[in-house]
Amino acid sequence: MFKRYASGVLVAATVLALSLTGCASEPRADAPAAEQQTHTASATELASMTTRGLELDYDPLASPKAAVTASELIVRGKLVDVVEGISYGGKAAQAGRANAYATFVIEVDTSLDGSVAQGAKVYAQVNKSSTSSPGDLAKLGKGLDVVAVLDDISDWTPAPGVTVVRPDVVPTTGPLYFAFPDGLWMKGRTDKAMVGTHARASELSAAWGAPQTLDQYWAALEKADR
Amino acid sequence: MLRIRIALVAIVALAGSLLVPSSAMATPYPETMLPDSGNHDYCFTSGFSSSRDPFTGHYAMSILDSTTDMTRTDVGACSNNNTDIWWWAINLPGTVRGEWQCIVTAGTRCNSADVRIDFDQIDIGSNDIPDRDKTSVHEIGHSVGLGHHSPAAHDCAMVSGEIPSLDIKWRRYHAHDIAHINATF
Repeated sequence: MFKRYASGVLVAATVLALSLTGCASEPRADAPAAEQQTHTASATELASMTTRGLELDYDPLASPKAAVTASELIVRGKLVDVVEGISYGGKAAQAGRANAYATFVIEVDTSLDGSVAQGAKVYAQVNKSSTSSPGDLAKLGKGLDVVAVLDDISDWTPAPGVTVVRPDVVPTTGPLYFAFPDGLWMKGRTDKAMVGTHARASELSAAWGAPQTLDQYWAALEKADR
Repeated sequence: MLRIRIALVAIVALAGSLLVPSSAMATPYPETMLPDSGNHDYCFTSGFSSSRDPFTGHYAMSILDSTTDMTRTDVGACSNNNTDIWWWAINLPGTVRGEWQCIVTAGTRCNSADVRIDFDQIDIGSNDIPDRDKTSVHEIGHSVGLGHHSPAAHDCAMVSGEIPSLDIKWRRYHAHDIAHINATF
């Protein structure tokens, strides 16, 4: 009798321990999508995979004021997905041999000029590696905190006769945003400091005040926008 | 005429490399994907051949050849997907001046890459021709394993953006980088 009671307690304890272990390592099924992904999101790993076999030379945003002037929109929020980017139509073969973009879907918490409602989604085109799929990037990036300085490239033409085709997720009308190479900064729980997709914080000019966190970077932009 | 220009570039490159300071802060290597061999063959797409300055492509390849142990081979017009570097002239979005993108990999190395140059973006400001050459050298630097050297590291073509001055060092690889390349190829 005692043995049966003891084994029953042992089984119950084991089940309880396993379920507690599961709770500790798995997100709750009813948690919001971004929350479920945050524990695995890594800006460092996302940047590494985004730029594998891809490097850019760009004119840096020389100061927060320059960033505010050059951009059409600056947002802060969460990266909630990474999906297919723009592709080329028409004489597409005139513009390169591979699709070089992904769409970073950002759920906006706040925008610098307040023109985007909280909770709205902004779709930013980002230069990406030809060897990394948007799905690969999404696994690493969902849930990251993000600040994005964006250019409107709606009228952009890569080469004569080449057209820009928006992916399904991007509204067919309205702005088509592109993240400046040194204007997309992210941070996840495992990242020690903010991480740029194509730039390092140490590459920002002195006018930026050496920001290491998204709060500091955002504060510099807010100050420049006054 | 082209041979004379390339010969002049090689002479200037040799002189420039002798003037490069020998001390340098260490930078990791490779910072990007390495190429599949020590010879870089390259081709021009029709758009690049008819661009405002196709010579900048030859210039960058000659700098690689004359300042490092790597070699180059001009294969003419692009048609073979295994050619190491395909040169393109296109309009790139935002503030992007140029980009290097590996298209065909060979294991962990790059078999063939696109180098895309945006002349309109580069020509903003002054010193257009040296500026084009800087970005072309910069992109080829990426194709042989070099990353961006932040201001905390050393001065060379791997800095981002417009050349800070006409000093030849902004169109060259640093001795430290060259040592890395030569040790690998």
